[in-house]
Amino acid sequence: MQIKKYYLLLLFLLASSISFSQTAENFYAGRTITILVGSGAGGTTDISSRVIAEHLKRHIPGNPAIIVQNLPGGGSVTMTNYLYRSAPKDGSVLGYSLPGIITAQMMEPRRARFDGRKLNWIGSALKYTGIISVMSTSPATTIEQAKDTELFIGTTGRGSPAHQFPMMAQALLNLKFNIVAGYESSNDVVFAMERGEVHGQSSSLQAWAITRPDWLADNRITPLLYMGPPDPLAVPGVPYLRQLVSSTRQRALVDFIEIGSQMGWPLFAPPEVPINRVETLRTAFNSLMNDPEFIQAIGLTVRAELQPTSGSELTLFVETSLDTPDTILSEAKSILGLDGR
Amino acid sequence: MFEMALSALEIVFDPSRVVIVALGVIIGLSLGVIPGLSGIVGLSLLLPFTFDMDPFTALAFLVGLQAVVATSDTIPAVLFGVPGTVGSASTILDGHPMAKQGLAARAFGAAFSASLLGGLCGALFLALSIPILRPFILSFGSPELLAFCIFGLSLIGVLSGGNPLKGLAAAAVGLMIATVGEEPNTAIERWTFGSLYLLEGIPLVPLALGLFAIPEIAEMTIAGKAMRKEHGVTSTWGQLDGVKDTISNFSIVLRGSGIGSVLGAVPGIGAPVIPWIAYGHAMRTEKGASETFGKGDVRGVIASESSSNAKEGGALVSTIAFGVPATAAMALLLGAFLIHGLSPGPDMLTTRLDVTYTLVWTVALANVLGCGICFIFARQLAAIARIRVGVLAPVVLSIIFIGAFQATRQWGDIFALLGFGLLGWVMKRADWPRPPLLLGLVLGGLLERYMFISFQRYGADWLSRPIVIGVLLITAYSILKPFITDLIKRRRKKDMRYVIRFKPNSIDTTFWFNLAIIIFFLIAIVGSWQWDFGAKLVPQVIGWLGLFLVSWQLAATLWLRTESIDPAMTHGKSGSNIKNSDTPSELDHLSNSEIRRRTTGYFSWCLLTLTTALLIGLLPAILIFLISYLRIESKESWKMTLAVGLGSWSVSYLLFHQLLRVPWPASFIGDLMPGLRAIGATNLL
Repeated sequence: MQIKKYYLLLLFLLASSISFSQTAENFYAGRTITILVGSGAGGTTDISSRVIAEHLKRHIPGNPAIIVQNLPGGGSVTMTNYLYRSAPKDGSVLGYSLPGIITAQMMEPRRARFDGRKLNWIGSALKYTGIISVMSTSPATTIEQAKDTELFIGTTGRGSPAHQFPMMAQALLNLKFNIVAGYESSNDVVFAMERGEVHGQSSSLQAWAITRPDWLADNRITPLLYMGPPDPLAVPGVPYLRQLVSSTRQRALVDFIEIGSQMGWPLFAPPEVPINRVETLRTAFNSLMNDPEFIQAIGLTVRAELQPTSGSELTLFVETSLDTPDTILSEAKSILGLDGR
Repeated sequence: MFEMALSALEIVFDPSRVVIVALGVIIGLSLGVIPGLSGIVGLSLLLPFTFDMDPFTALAFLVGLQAVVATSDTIPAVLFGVPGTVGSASTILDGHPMAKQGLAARAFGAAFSASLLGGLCGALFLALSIPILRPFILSFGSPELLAFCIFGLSLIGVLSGGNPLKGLAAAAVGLMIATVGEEPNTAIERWTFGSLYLLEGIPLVPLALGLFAIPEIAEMTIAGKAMRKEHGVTSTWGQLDGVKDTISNFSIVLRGSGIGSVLGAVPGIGAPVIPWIAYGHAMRTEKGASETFGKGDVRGVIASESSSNAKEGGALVSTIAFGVPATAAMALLLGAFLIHGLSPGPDMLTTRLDVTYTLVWTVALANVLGCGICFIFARQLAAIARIRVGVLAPVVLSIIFIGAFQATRQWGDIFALLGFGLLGWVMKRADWPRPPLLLGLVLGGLLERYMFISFQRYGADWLSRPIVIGVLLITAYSILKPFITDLIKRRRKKDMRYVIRFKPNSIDTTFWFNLAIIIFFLIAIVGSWQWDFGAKLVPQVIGWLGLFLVSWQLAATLWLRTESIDPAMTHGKSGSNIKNSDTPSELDHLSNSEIRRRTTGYFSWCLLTLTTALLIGLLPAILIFLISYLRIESKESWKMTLAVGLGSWSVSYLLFHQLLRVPWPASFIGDLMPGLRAIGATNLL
């Protein structure tokens, strides 16, 4: 055992000395990059990661192979914990998470055992515009009507962004939402809307373009309210949560609830990766964002237009977000009913 | 429409596509055989390879793969009592006892032919239901699903065979386990102990493998002998007997596949429940089934298998027509549709009907190919059961370890596997039926979900919906019917009476196990006392119910006896000694102390492997386990040890590490030196 350990140690030292002396191009040539995806197979997160993996390799000097592994659980927290603590810190393993990963660090510090400030952000290709839409036959179809008329909004559960947006909107705008939680997936909520069990849900416009393109075209659903970055596909004239609030406190709460949607689906490397490799990956990612083949593939698979954020922009955004004052954080938690955490 | 169907037939039977479907079928069959792997793994792995195919070929490939996973998952279920996928758990109940009686080939014959017919019925259902699909599926809301869950729970009585009390208590344990995780309405974390693993509940795969597979392998090694040799000389084509069984029980096939395809189409019922419903239905309606089911009755195999293949056609229906995937595998298939530019929804039933019919034909073709392949090799497969236990057990056990780990790819999977393995073993020894526990777990989450949604949305009005009323009436009838017959029978058996007298000799394993379950429910009741109403309602109700059932059970074992009034027949049975529907034990030839010694040995090996894995990684630990078990425990020659150990490990290595690229959990050594994970040769740590 003792001998084996020394042998391994020697091997490790050897390997690490080789890897530190390499240029990024030499490093990636003939190597395989692993992207760990913090969600199960299927769905926007998984599919977009696979499209990125497929096209990113052309932009990295040395043309490495890129494979995708799913490591679902805890809203990508399981994956990020693993990446932060256990993955090799040489740029051969990257993480791709759900939009809410930084919010998770702020809301659940006990579970999220990573620090967003130390992760190396490479970039994000898509943003998430949250839209609360209701069936056009619902008793209320504008935000003004929703202040007096009860609307059933279906969600998967209190922990999900699709629950948090209507909760926050309800608190800030005094809406009469009756939020029915517990559906298995947002697809099941769509189905519940179709059979009249609930009136609406919060999701993204792209999600509608995937699940029910005909509903959008035939105006069978009406968007009530949206948040996050203005969606390039957005229907004009839909009220914007940010514009409906006035006080500094309310704006700060909107900022907080929008963190995930502004970040979108980020790609990142663990801490302590050699800086030249991080830069190589960032450059590759930026050039991927201008690759027409990639743009077409994303449009086809997740029905979204690109809304790229570069690695340096993400880094800055994460730092600002993590500086959210504790008073705002605890108020947000109490509005969302998550004070127990 | 008919023309569409014909032109789609041409598309599917294009020779190059038949080859692709066959390839998909072979991959699907291989995935079904390996416990823990299912169609999901294959679909996510192969999806990228279909990018360059035309949509018809790509979907035929993937659908072909998915359609036959439910065919081959029978093989480990019958041979070892190990569910190949969760859907085959109910096949174990009769399939495995058949193998023990030397009838493995016959069980295979019946299972594969029932699968084939079931799969074809599923495809037919898919084809015929296209015009009426939307209104049918839309009539299933949360209240209807809730009613179905209640109906599912009523099967527990049937599945507990001779002892409904133990069955209900086991189901209560399953329902309680289902409450683990974050409660969606209150965000309260129930019994998660701060762990991320438990946040989303205990995954089904390690639980099912633990509950069924670990105890079966334990029994095999403890008994120390291979399963009985094949019967007689006539069994060159033993599987043909099975085919005859299927044909003579064709009505079971029809009903099983009807249940499978209809319930499979309804999103939200969940694939694991469906074969149980078919099994329970057959048990209730077939002549003499309550006596023979669970002891190697081929009709049990036929019922489960026909429904589990039929459900794939059904599940495809709701995916195509609504974009609502009924199962996880269908969610991936939905992704494949999108990648190939097809939007599931009404279009698929009108303008893109060609695609839909292509899928129908693919399901049919895949089933024919899949069952054909399995059928031809049934005898060779059955021969596996004759391999020496000392060689077979470690190989199967190592696959179970790695397979269980595929559920979430965290250490928790292995802990859950061993924890539930131990529970399963104790339940088996204490004569508690295990199927109700699994069913309780599967239904528990659904029941709670649909109950809260139904009440929040409709109040008490959910009870007034026609389908709900219908389903609940059927449920009530099927629960009450046995009681009524029982009452009539008891009146006839007037010469029997209950005697209340303390029986000191009944303080045995069963007693201690009952006591442990009582403590389990007490802890659950106390632990959930402080929670918000929404989070504690179900745990409290189940807790008190379970407590009541087990206490009654305990009291009955300690004090209650039935005696004949006629003094000549006084050596009556104690109330709880009737054999349950679980698989019967093979250990009668061993003394209790010997069993205890060997059990300790077996679980020590499991525990040792876990510890080694934590230290140096799962795959390396498996290699050490295989070599040392074969050499030390089975006393095989070095030649045999290395051949079997290295051989089977290399297969696992190539499959899981090289092909599936499984991210292995962090071991102690790996965490000490993360750099090792970057090197090709040492990235197993």
